[in-house]
Amino acid sequence: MQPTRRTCFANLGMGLTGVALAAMLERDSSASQQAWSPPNGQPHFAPKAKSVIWLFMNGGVSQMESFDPKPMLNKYAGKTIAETPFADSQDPKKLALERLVAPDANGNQRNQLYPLQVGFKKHGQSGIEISDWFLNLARQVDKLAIVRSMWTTDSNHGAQTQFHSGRHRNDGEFPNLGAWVHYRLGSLNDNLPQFISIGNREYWNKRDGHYLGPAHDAVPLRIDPNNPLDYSQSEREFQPVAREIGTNLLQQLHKLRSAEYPNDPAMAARIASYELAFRMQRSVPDAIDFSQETDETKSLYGFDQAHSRDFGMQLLAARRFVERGVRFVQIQHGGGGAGAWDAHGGLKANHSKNALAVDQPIGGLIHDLDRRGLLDETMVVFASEFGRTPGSQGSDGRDHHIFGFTVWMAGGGLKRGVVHGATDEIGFHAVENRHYVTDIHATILRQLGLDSRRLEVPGRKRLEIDHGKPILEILG
Amino acid sequence: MFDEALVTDCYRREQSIVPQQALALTNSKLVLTAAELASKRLAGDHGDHGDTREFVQNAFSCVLGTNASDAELAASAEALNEWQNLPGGSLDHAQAHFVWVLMNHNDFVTLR
Repeated sequence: MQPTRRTCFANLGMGLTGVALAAMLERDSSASQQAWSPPNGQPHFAPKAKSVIWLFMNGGVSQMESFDPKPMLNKYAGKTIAETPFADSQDPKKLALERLVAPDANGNQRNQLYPLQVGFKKHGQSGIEISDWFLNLARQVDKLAIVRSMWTTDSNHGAQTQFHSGRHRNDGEFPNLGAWVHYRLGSLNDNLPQFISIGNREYWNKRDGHYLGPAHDAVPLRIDPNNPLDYSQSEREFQPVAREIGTNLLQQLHKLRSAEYPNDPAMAARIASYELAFRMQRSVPDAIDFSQETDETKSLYGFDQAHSRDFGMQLLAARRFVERGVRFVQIQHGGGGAGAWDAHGGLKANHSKNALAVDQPIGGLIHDLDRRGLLDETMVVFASEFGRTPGSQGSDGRDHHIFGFTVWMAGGGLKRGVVHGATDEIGFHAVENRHYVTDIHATILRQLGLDSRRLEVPGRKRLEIDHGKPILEILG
Repeated sequence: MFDEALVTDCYRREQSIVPQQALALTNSKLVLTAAELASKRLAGDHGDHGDTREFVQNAFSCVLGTNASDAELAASAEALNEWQNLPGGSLDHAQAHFVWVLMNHNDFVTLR
């Protein structure tokens, strides 16, 4: 490859440090060479699950008003935390894990306890308590594995990226979970993208592959049956035979260039992406042709109510993608600003509205996957970047909260109807079986039959915390 | 859909490869119209309407900023010939199709 101004400067900048670093990387790569092999599309060991549907609520869901109700907030409502028996939750030592990007009006301690904005009940055989904003989902509670003891470190919305990559944004940019899965396993169906992203992610980093390369970024799709894929038809008249001659010539020209630049992964990815694009012109409209579904199924996903239709279509599309062999479908709910769930004020109006949009579709998805026998091989994950403060922000909001929040998973060989871990009585700190976000990654990778250490790329040593630990207690 | 230059990062561009980029370059009115206009200009500017080899070389240089190799020239000339011999085909059409192909080339959308 021709040296460019940029690579030339980069090389000069490295100077002698570069020599030492190169030697270290060399040693590192030879040490890990035994374990590492280039991705071959096969899992490392027998998998329990084939696909992942990853539901991410942008902005931060209140753990107390969803899957970890805390009646003590009602008992001590309006008191400062210092006035309650839980004063030690604000011990500076317990708050030390926060890593601030920049001081901000948000992401701060909120001292005055704010009562629960919604009721809650026990549901199902398991008797797990869930808030009344998620009554449809609550009917599926006996299929969920709820982890109430999550923590993270970025008290601002960089935590969205952190939740997916496992790294704080001050550390740089690192591949996301979906990219790792794609890197190793690719697809079960080459007519569709292997890693799909649906919904808005304007606030968090839009890339997934990073050092694994742009070929491992999620392919963004918009679920609109009236216009399933932009530019899927020629916008000017073009004789099919003339087009075919052009396509053949383009293939030849690309092959000639790739012989000239044999080590250019972008070139290889571009060629593959052209081939996929043409197959997608048929496969995507078919995958989101909901006329193939019954009215009963469409209602199950909330199609007949305006507030849940959009998200319902995304989830039904996700099920249809997974049925067609897509490995990883990442769905972001609630775009705009830092995310729709970011209820610094008006939490009750905010969360009740958002829950209305997602509750029916998610409950429907789990029920539908299960009755089709797909839940055992599909992992559904529900998460947001952090939780919200037990104390109030302004008169009626909650701030960002990194010290304790909830994630749940369902299917893919996990136990059904279990709660793992706990926060303290006001939902402040995760106190039992604490888990960093990469423990979720490790759990998913394990069910997919992947060993993150064997995925590691020579020269890109990952930290222990990047790998995380599978949550063994919730494995079936 | 494509990668804009980042104002906060010395106008560097991140690199993305998603299949929709291929569809936009193939099917969009913008590209199809631009290909036709560019081919007319290439043919006109150089006054070499009839010389295939020179047209191809100029198109490579204008659209991709590189020279065509002998193998690339041969493949291009063959396609131009096929297009021209289609029912209703013409040199103008063939040249516009050819520029459309170059606008879909990896080197058109990638900075090396």
